[in-house]
Amino acid sequence: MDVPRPWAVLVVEDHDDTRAFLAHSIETTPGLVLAGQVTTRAAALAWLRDVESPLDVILVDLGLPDGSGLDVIACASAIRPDCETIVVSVFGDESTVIAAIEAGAVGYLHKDRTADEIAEAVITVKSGGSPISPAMARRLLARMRPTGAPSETPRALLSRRETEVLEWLARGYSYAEVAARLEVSLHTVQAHVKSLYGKLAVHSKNAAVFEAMRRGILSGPAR
Amino acid sequence: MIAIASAALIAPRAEADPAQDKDAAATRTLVLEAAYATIEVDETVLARRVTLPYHWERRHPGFGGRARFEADFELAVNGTRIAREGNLDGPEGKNHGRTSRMLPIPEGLLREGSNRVQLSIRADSARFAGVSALVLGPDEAVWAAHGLGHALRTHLGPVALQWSLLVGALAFVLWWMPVPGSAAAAGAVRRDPLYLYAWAGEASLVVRLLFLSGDPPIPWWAWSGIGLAAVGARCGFGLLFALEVAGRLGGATRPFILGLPAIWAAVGFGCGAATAALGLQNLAGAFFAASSLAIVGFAPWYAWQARRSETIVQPLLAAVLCLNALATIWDWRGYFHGEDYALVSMSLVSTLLFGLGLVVVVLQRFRSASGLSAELAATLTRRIADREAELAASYRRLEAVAREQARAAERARVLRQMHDGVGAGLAAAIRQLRARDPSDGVITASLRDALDRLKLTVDVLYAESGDVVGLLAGLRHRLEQRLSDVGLELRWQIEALPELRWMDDRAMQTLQSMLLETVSNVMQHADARRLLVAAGTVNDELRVRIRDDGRGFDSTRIKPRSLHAHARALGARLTIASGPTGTTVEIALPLEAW
Repeated sequence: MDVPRPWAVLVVEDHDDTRAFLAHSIETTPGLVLAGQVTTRAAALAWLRDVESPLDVILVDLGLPDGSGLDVIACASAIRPDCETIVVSVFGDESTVIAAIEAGAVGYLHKDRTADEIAEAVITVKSGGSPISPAMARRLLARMRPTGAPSETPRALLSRRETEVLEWLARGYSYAEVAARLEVSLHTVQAHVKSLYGKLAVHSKNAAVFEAMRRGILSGPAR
Repeated sequence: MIAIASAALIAPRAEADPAQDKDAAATRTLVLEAAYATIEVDETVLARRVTLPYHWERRHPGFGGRARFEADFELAVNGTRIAREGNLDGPEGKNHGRTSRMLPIPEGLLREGSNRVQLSIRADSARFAGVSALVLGPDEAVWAAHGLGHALRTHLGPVALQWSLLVGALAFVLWWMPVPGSAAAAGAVRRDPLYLYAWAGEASLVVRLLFLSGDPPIPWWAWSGIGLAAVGARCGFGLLFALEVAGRLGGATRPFILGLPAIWAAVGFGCGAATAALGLQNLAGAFFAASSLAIVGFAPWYAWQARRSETIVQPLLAAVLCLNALATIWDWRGYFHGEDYALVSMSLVSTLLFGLGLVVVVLQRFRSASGLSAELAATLTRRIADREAELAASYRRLEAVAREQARAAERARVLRQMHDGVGAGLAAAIRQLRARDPSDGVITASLRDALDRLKLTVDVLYAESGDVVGLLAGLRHRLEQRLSDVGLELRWQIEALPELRWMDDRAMQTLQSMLLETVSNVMQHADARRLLVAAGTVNDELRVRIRDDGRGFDSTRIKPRSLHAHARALGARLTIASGPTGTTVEIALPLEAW
């Protein structure tokens, strides 16, 4: 029987204490192995470009001393497509997380979790789960659903099922409760959310344009 | 080229009869219609009585010669020459007979009884020549009969010349001025060809008039040729002018039509030169006939086309053309069948009306241009007003967006500080404490509580005003871990609820505090297994119900003061019911503001 290779994790965090804690969490979890730890954006980009060893997960703190972790996320999405990026945040506030997801991240972690919780979150994300807060679900609904503005395209970005899942999640229901209500498996619900994230990353630029048009900053085609 | 002469004689007053005879004599004219002619043609001399008018070119076509006419009448001029013009001996002199002549006879020349008037002419082969009937009589009588024609005949030429020069100058200036607006566009300046045709037509008429009279400084055939070429050019440009006014100078036939004046002039030159050089009298006549036919044919067609015109210009031109056609026919009659060449050329008169047509075109264009510019000014004013309104609206939108952006930037700044400062610190503290004691001690619990409250504060910052469901969902999200740590099983029954627009940020924060306090109470005091959180609308209220199956408390004796205070501040109805099987807290919020 095949023993699956443990997942390699890169930690990008400038705060020494937190970084040590994250590294410790990874190392003490079977199934995860620490591939490296860096403290700056430049070092992270260099690692992504130059190191040849396989990489499965990146934990990124957005507040790096020489720039934004969003660049690291974007770079990883581009040159390491098999790697999943998880953003590490104190609050997990929706603006931060959505920005990270637009750049290509697939999930987020709270810094104040216990080591076990962190490892569990990493494994969940890697297994296909995509954590989402109700606030994020609400934001995504507002962003990607047609709102009746005159100049938007009639084609909705979300499928009917995806919209339904988001609506339940926005009301605070858990993944398990949503699965029960929609009579599907938990894995299906997670898959819906994950595909949502993918669409968000692809359509983020379009959404920015749409948003600008909605606010009237850009005008539509000349009469 | 017509040489005619008529002689007018004055009855001598001295020999006037008493009253009646004097009146009669004063009004009566004598018309001499017969004369004795001595004609030298081609070295042959003919002498015979002839009738007047005597048309040389009809009696001796193609030949030149000399003739002397003698007619007798009662009052006579005897042997004394009273008038002489030109040169009887040589050819190619001036045309002296172009107009009628009123020749006063001095008193002393007449005598009682028989008188004789003698008139000699020189006829050249390529010209009209001859003598009309001689009209004799008292000054007033002759004038009354022929004066007007004489005056017109004498003066029409110069007047026509001046008129044509004026109109031509006007047309040239109008053509030279570029079409308004074309100078601004890239490329060559545009000129209106309509005025060019008008100028060319008038210029051709001027040439024609100049070449009719006077002493030819160039060979006769060239002179004649240019004269007829001018006629052709005049007709051609007149047609172009009329077609341009009608807007029919487009299409495939355009190059041919534009060449018409040149072709017409060339044919005219050929006919004129040939007539003069080769004595082909009828060639010139044929050219005139053909040109006239063209006008006569064109005019009705043009008039027919003009019936659909919107402005007065085309019908007016059509009328001028038709007049021209009629005048041409009238002149034919006069030239080819009339007795007297002293007729006024009606074509000349009618052709002057073209100048009038040009003036009308200019006036009409001026009028429409004035109207158009007024309309454009009004449209421009309206457009500017629209654009200004749009601009103002855009500025307002931009302002609103800028304000929102400023708010968002401020919020982000505050969050950044909390995230990097307080939040990170709390998380680190929690971690350090757990490193020493894996199970959460009191301090750890307090720190976690502090961090949770910080997160909840952040949530409210991002919440939409009045989004109670979002508030509840966020609360669950933040507290879920702690609830499961305590062993509480959560039942969640939240319906899709409307946003309560009357709730501002402060109200949201108050509500959140109430909810947090309620749940905290359950976690700390209730010792419960299950927790139900439900929210729905009943009547005009949004009701949030939190129920646990814990110990309960004596709600009559213990009143959670802060909860009630918050409820009052919020304007919400708070209901707390508690017993040994559990506690229910219900918060009712009105859907609409009061």
